Amino acid sequence: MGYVANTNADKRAMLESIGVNSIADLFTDVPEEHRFPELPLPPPLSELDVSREIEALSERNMRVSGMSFLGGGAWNHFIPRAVPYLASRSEFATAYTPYQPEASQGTLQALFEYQSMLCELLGMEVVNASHYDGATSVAEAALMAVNAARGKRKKVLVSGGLHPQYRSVMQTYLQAMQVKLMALSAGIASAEAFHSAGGSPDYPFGQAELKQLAAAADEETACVIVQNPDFFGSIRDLAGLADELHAKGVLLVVHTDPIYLGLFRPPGADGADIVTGEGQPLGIDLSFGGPYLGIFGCTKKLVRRMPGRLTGQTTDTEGTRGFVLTLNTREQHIRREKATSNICTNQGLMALRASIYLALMGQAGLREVASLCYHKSHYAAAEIDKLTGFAVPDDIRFFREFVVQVPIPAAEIVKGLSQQGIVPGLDLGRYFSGRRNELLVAVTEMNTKDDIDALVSALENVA
Amino acid sequence: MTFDKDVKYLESHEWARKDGDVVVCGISDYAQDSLGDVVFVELPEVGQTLKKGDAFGVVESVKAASDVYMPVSGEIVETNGVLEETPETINEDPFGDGWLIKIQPSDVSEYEGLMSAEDYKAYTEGLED
Amino acid sequence: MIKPIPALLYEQSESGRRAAVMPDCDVPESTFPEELLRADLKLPELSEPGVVRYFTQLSQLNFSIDTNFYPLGSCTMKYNPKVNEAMASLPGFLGHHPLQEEMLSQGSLELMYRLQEQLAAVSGFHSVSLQPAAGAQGEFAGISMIRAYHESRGEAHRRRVLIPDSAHGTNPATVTMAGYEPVELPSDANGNVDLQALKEACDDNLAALMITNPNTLGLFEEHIEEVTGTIHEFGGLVYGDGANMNALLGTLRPGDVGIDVMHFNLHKTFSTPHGGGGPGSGPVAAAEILAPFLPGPVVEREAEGGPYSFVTPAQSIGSIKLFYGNFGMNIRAFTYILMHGASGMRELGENAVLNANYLKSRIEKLLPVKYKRNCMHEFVAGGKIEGAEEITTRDIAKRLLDYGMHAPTVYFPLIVKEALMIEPTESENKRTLDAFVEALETIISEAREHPGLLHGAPHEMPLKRLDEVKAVKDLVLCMHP
Repeated sequence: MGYVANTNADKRAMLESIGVNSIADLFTDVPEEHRFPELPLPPPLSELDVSREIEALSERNMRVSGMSFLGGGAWNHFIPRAVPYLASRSEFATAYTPYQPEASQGTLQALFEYQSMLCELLGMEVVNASHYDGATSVAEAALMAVNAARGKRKKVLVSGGLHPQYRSVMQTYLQAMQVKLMALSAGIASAEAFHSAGGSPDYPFGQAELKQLAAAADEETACVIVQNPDFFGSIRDLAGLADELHAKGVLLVVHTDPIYLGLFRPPGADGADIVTGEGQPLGIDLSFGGPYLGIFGCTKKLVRRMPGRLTGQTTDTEGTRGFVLTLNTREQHIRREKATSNICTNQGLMALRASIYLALMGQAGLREVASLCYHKSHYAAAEIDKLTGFAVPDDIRFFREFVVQVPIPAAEIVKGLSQQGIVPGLDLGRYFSGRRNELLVAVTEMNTKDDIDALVSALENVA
Repeated sequence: MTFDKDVKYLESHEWARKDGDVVVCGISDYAQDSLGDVVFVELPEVGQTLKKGDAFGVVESVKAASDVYMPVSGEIVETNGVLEETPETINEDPFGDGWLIKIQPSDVSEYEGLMSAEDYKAYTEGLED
Repeated sequence: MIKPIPALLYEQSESGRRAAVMPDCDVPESTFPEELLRADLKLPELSEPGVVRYFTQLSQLNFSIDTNFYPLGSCTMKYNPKVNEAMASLPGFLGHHPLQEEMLSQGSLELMYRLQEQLAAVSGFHSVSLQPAAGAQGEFAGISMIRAYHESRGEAHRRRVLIPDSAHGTNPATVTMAGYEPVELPSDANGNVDLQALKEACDDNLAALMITNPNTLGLFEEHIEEVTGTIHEFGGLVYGDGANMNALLGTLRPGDVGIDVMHFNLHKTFSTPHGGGGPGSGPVAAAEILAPFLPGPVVEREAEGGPYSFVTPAQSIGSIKLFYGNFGMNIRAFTYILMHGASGMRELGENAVLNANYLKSRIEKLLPVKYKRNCMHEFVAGGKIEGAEEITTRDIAKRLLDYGMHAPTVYFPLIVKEALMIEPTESENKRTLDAFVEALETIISEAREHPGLLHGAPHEMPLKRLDEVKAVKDLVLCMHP
C-alpha cells in the first residue's frame, strides 16, 4: 500500500535501533490469543478499482438539481466555485486544531473572520468557532441556559415550531440532566409524546404562541427556545419577547437561518441571549446530512458559560496582531468534569466555507439570495394555492418554505412526482402522524420560474 | 517563594487569616506561582453559607482553572471586588490585596486545625518530583 | 522570506465592490413585511480575485500534514489520501438531500451499511451507529447507552464511572454531561491501571469504566482482560475510548478483550482530514448486549439482495445529531478501509507502532522517557534538558516550528510533567523521523549554549510568540465593520 512509507531496509534498521528482531515483537503486551486477528474484510483494492466501485454506488442515488423542493433542515443553495476550491486547499484541510498558534494563523484568522461576519449577521456580541450542526447547537444552548441558572431553573420551554428532530436531539442531550423539556402548545413533555400526538394541533404558530410562551415562563424556567423562521417556514415578530422573559430571569434562545438574515432583523436586535442556526446554506453541500455547521452565538455576559472553541485577537512579542484559541479554561481538555461541554472537535472546515461564502457574497449578494428565496417561494405558494384541492393558509408570513394542504396523502404525491424527476417537498407525515396530507415545500434561488411552473402543473395532475 | 507566617494553610493551597470576627481567605504564593498569570476569578454571592471544604469559587489562568475551597464553615460576608477588573492582583500580592473572600465562621475551632506556614512549606516541598 | 499576513476582510472592504452576483428575479416580486426588515447589514465587499488571494495567503500561514511533519500525540496526523476527497465529492453524493426518499437514496444507504460492517469487522463489535459527529459525541452516546442499559435493568443507582488519570479530558466531561459521577483512578509504576486501586473503587454503585487502550502514554494496558473482567464482575460495563485505535488496526480487536462499547475517530484512525479542528466523525460500536441502545437511525437490510432502510434500534437512546451523521466523512473512511482490506489494516497498525518505537529508541537518549517499555503508536517524553533547567516544553515546541516541524502535543497527559507526546504515524518514513531527531539534537545544544534563542522562539514564523494572557484579559472575539 502506497500510504506506508518505510522500505524493508528502513524497517530492518529501525528494528535494530529498537533492539527487537521483528515487528511482531513490539506487540508482546497484547494478549497472545487475540493478537493479529483475522479481520473479516476483503483483500486490498487499487485506487482504480475502489473508484469504480464507489462511483457506481453514488450513481444509485437519484440525481435532482433544479427540480427539488426539499428543505426541512437542509436546503439546496448556490455554492460559488471559489468556495470548494479554496476550502479544499490542503493547508486548511490537513491541519489540526490550532494548538500552536504561530503555525496556524491561516486557520485562526479565517475563524476570526467567521466569528466577525456571524456576529454582524446575527447581531450578537460573541459567536464561537462552530458546533456540529443546528440541532446540536440548540441542544447545547439549552444545556448552557440551564447551567447559567446554576441549577436553580430546570425547565426548558420549546416553541411548537422547532424542527422535530432538533427536539429529539435535545431530548437525548438533556435526558440525564433532570431537565424538563416542555412543548407549550400541547403540554407535551417529550419528543416521543410530541410525535405520538401527531404534532402540535396549534399550527400555524402565530404571534399568539409567543405570548403564551412568555406567560408560561416561570421561576423554574431556564430559557424559552423559538425557531424563526420555524420548521414550517413561518416567520414571526420577536420584538418585546426578550424583555418579558428577562423580567422573569428567563433567557431567550432563538434558532435562526443565516440566509433569512440577509434581509430580516437579526435575533440580537430583538434581545436574544443565545442564538443558534444551521450554517449549511452558507456554501456547504447537502451531502446526505453532513458535515454541516452549527452556528452558536451569545451575549458577552454569558461568554464564560459558552461551550465550544473561541478565537481571540492578541499580539506577538513584537506587538504585531495575531490570533489564538482563547478562554480555553471553559473546555474539557483543561476543565475536565467541570467543563461547559465535552465538545472538542468542531466543524472548522465548514466554518471556513461559510467565511469564504460570505466574503464572496458580501452584503449585496446575500440580500439577493434572500430576496430570491422570498419572491420565488411566494410565487410558488400563490400558484399552488390556485389549484383545486390545494391550499396554502393565507394568513401566514413565511420565508423560503411553506406548508401546503394537499388533497391526497403527501407520501403518494412525493412518490408519484419523483418518478417524473421532481421532488415536490417533504411529506410532513414522516415527522407528524397527524399531518399526512401536508407537504412542506422549499423554494430557493436554485429553482427557476420554469421549475416552479413544472411543479405546479405536476401537482395539478396528481389531484 | 513566600510562606506568610501570619496565616494558616490548606492542602488545596488556600490561606486563611483571622481578622477580628471574620476569617479572610486567599490563595498562597505557591498556588499563584504554579497557576501563572491569573486572568479571571469567580467568587460567590455575599450572604451564602458554605461548609469547610466546599468549593466557593474558581481562579483561572490561561492554562488552568482551579476551584478554591472554604477553609472554615460559615457565611460569606465580603468578596474582593478589585479582582473583577484586575485579577492579576492575586499574582502581585497573594497575601494582601489579592485576598478572595471574608467569612463569618460558624465554628472557630476549624481555623485552629489548619496547617502552619512551616507545615505547609514542607507539604509543598513534598509535591515536587 | 517570512510570509506576509494579509489584512482582515473588513479592513480590505471597499464600498460597492462585488464578487458573487445572483441572477435577476424571474418571478413577480412580493412585498416584504416592512417591520421585520433589518436596518443594515455590513458584510465585507471584495472582488472574487481579492477573496481568492486572501484565503490562499491565509492557507500559506498554516502548517499541515501535506506540508510539514506533524507528530501531534493522540491526534493521529496521518496522510489523508486524495482519492478520499474525490469519492466524497462525487455529484451523486454531494448534492443528495438527506430527506430524499430511502428508495431514491440506496447508494448512500448501501455505503453506510457497508461502513457499519467494516467498522464492526475491524473492532470485533456486534453493531455500529454512524450518527455521532465526533469522538466526544460518540463518547456521550456510549455512556448514555450504558446508562440506558442499567436503567432498563432497574439499576439506576449505578452512577459511578471510573476513569484512569491518564485519560483525555473529554472522558470526565462526558460523564458529567451524562449525569454520572466521575471517579479518577491512579496509574501504576508501569503506566497501567493500578489494579489494587481499581478493585477498591468497584462497588454496587459502579456503572462503568472508561478506558483508553493504548492509553495516552502510548502504552498497551497489560492487564486489559483482568481490568474488564473485574468491572464485569461488579456488574459494570466497559467503555473503550477509540482515540488510539490506530495502533490496534489488524493487531487487536477491542471487542475481543471485554470492551462493551467504543467510539471511533474516523478523522484519526481512518484518514479523514482534520480540517483545522473538524469536521470529524465518531461512530459508536457496541457489543450485542448494548446494540439495542445505539443512537439512530442506523442502516439495516431485511434480506440479502433487498433494499436498505433506516431503522431506529429498539431501545435507542435517540438521535444525537441531525439526520444520520457526517456522511461526507464516512465516505472517506469507507474508501480508506476498502482500499486497505484486512492485510492493509495490519500493515497500518504495525508500521504506526514501528515508527513510534523507532523514534522512542532515539529520543530516549536525548530526553527523559519515564516508562521503559515498548510503546504502541505514540510515547511521552519530558521536556527537561540537562544543563538547561530553565528551558520548558513550551520553548522546545516553539523552536521546533522554526525547523519546519509541528510540535508534538504538549503538557498532556497531565500525569507527566512538561510532557511532549509524540505520535509519528505510519505515513512517515525513517528519513523524516531522523530529521526530527536531528532537529531535537540541535535544539538541545541551543538550549545549553543560547537559551535565549529558545525563550524567544519562534523566530522564523510569520509571527513571534503570541500572548495568550492578553487574549483572555483584553477579550476581542470579532471585528466590527
